[in-house]
Amino acid sequence: MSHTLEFETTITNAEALVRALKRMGVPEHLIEVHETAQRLKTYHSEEYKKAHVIVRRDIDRFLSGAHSDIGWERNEDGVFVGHIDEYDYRIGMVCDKEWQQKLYTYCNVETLKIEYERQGMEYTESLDAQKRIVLRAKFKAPVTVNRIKTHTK
Amino acid sequence: MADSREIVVTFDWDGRGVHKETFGFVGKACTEETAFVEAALKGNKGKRKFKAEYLHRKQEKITHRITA
Repeated sequence: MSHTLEFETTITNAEALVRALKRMGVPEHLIEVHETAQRLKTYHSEEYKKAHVIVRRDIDRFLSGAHSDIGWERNEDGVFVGHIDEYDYRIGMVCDKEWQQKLYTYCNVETLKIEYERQGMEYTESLDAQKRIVLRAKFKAPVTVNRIKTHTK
Repeated sequence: MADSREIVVTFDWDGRGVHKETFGFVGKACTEETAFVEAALKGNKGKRKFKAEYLHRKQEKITHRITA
């Protein structure tokens, strides 16, 4: 009998998680975001796990061959916990350790980009010599009265 | 004059390691004005290494005291 594995994360931002999933190649139409946690569709497990962010299995494309959805449930502290079917994980069908590490790296990147966008800061994304993602953001000097020039005669 | 202050954040592929470097800040401003980066990434603070610009703040104070 299979069961659902729980994976701790440090993710608190659902939008960043969705953006990260898209960067991982998950088709947009398979990603669901819910205010209230919804039940994951599983085959092997008799547990009824729920999640706020869900990737539905797609027999034709993403998660092809997997038996269950994968999901992230927001806990009381606002941090997401990943739910992945043990069978799918064990046979290497979905979300192995490397896949998750890459996803959470993208989550960190997207979380910071969202914050920069909120603050109206300009940023660029690139890779360094070690192929790590680098975000370079410029500060804007605050506009003070002294800096404002009037052009009236 | 153009504002040359910059934040450069590098992300390790383990999903946890994040390195922040600041340019163009003097003194405590580098940590104060860029604290939002750590807040956004949920206190992923790690060890801090300060550059010479941070230590410049103490020097300023000492100079001020001597000349006052």
